[in-house]
Amino acid sequence: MSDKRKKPEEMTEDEARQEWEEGQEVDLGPAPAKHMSIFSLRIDRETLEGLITLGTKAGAGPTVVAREILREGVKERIGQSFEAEAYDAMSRATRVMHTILSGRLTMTSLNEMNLACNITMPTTTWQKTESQREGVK
Amino acid sequence: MRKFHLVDIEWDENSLREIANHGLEFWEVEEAAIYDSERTAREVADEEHGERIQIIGTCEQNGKRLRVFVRPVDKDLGIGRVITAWRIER
Repeated sequence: MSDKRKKPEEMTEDEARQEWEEGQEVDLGPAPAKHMSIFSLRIDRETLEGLITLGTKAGAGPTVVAREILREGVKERIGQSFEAEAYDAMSRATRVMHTILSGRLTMTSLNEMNLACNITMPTTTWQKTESQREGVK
Repeated sequence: MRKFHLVDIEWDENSLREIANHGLEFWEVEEAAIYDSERTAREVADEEHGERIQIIGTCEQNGKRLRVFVRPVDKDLGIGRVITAWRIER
């Protein structure tokens, strides 16, 4: 292969395979234990100065502060809160379905259903449901 | 044999976009290029593009076998930047 090589982004799989054949073997060493990823991003000077100031106050480096702020921000937006919310909703839905399927409609279970659905069921509805249940019996 | 103990990949928007064009997620590339104990690598260099390493490895979680092109950023710390990566047949 000549010294003029294509950029990898422009290579076909065949060209990449040919480059592989001609390449020098590299020892990558043992696989490390799994840990964090590095993501580089460009930030304005004012933000960086703010991170340095916060870091100085906290006795930590600006990257430590940035990591913490990012982690909290991401969790707040898509991380734990969403997962926790989804998990709670699923648990509540399961309990409600279980109650309905088992036919054990009691005041307690209906209250839980109200809570689960986050709705306020008027007493008349409960009374109606109770009377229907009695009717079924 | 040359040695390059790759322990970290430095991601940026370009590299994330490039692998996304091939339908890959960053963690799949990391699993194949860094954490697969069976991964193998070859190095090529030319005047125009400098040095780059091709790594063939497998993502443990989903079994995807990948060809990953990495440019060494810091050889002492074992940091590389992904140029591109795509899925290959076994």
